[in-house]
Amino acid sequence: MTVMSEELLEALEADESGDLDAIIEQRRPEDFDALRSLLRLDPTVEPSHRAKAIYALGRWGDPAVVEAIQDLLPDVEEAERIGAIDALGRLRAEDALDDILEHVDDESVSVRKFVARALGRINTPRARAELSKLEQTDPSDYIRSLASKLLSRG
Amino acid sequence: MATNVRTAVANRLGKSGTLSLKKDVFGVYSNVIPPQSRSLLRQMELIQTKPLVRVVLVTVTDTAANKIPNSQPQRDLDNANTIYQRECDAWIYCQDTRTRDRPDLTVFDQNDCGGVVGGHVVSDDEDELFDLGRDLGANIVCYYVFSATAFGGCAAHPPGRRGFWVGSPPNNNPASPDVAFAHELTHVVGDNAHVSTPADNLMTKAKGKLVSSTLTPAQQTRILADPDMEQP
Repeated sequence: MTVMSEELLEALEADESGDLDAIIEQRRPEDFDALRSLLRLDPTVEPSHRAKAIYALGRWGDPAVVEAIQDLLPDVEEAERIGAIDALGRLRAEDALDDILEHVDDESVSVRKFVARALGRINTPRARAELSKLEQTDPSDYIRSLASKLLSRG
Repeated sequence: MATNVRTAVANRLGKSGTLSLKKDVFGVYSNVIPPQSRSLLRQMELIQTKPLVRVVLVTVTDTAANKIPNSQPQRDLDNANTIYQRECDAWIYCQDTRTRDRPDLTVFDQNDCGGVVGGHVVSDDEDELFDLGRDLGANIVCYYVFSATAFGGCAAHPPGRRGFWVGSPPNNNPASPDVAFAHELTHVVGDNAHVSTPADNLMTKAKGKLVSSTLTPAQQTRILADPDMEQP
C-alpha cells in the first residue's frame, strides 16, 4: 500500500495549489508514487484528490503516468477531463494524441480550449495538423483564434 | 445629514452625481443581501475616519453554456469587512462590480500558484483574466470563476495587476467558503503568507475557517501599511 506523507495530504486538501507546487519542486519519489496511486476511478479515491493528483503529475513531467491518465479520460466528468487533457499536453504525450482528439468536437468550449492547448504543447507535425484543422473549422471564433495563435508560436 | 453623506462620499470615495445609498455609500451591489444590519451612521464613521481598501468584483460567466459561478459576493464582502473592522479597524469598500461573459475564461488555466522556485509563471489565461475590471477604480480585483483546474482560489497575480480569484462550487468549492474571499484578499493586502498558528488565524490552510478568524498584530500591521490601504 502506498503511504502518503502528512505534507502531501495537506497539499491535496488545500484550497490553493501552492503547497502542491512546492511538492512538485522537491520531486520526492515517494510523493510521485503516492500521487500516481490516486489515478484510478475507485470509490476510495476522493475525486478532488484525484483532480489535484492529475494537476501535479501533469506538471511533474514524468511520462510514466501518461497511460494512467489516458485510461481515466473517457470516464471522468468535464472538470477532471479538462485537467487530464491539460496534463497530457504538459507531459507532451504524443502517444495520447488519439485520446486527446476524441474530445476535439466536445460541445464544451472549455474542453476544446484545453484540447487546443494540449496540441500546441505536444507540437508534433500531427498535432500541428490537427491544430490547423481547429483553426479552420471550429465553430467558435475564440477556439479558431487560439489555434491560430498556438500555431504561430511554432 | 444628506449634504454630509454626499460630501463624504465625494471626498473619500470619489463618487458624485446621483448617488445610490445602497451601491455608492454601502458598496452593496448584490441583489441577494445577507440579513445584516447596516447602519448609515456607522458607514459614515467608516467613510470619514477609517482606513479603507477598495476592491472591484468581476464574475466570469459563460451564459450560453450556463456556466455561472455559484458565488455569494455580498456574504464574502460582509464577512471580510467584519474581520477587517474587528482586527484592523479598517474596512473594505466595493468600488464596483461587473459580470463578464467570457466563455474562454470560464475554466481557466493556471501554471502554478506562486511561491515556488522561480516565482509565479503567469499563464495566458491569467494574463487575460487579470486584465478584466482594471478600469473600474480599484487596484485590487476579485474574480469569481466557474472552475480553475482543481483548486478553490489563488492570489498569485501578474505583476502590476493586483487581485485574486475564488472558485465556485461544485468544481472548486473552497474549503472555507465563508472566508475564502477574505483569505485570498489578505494574501494580496499586506502580502500575507500562510501561517500554521494560531489555529484560528485567517491565514491558516485549515478547512472550515469562520468569520471569527483572527489576524496577528504583524498581519494587521502589514495590512494597514499596504500601498492600496487608503488613510482617512
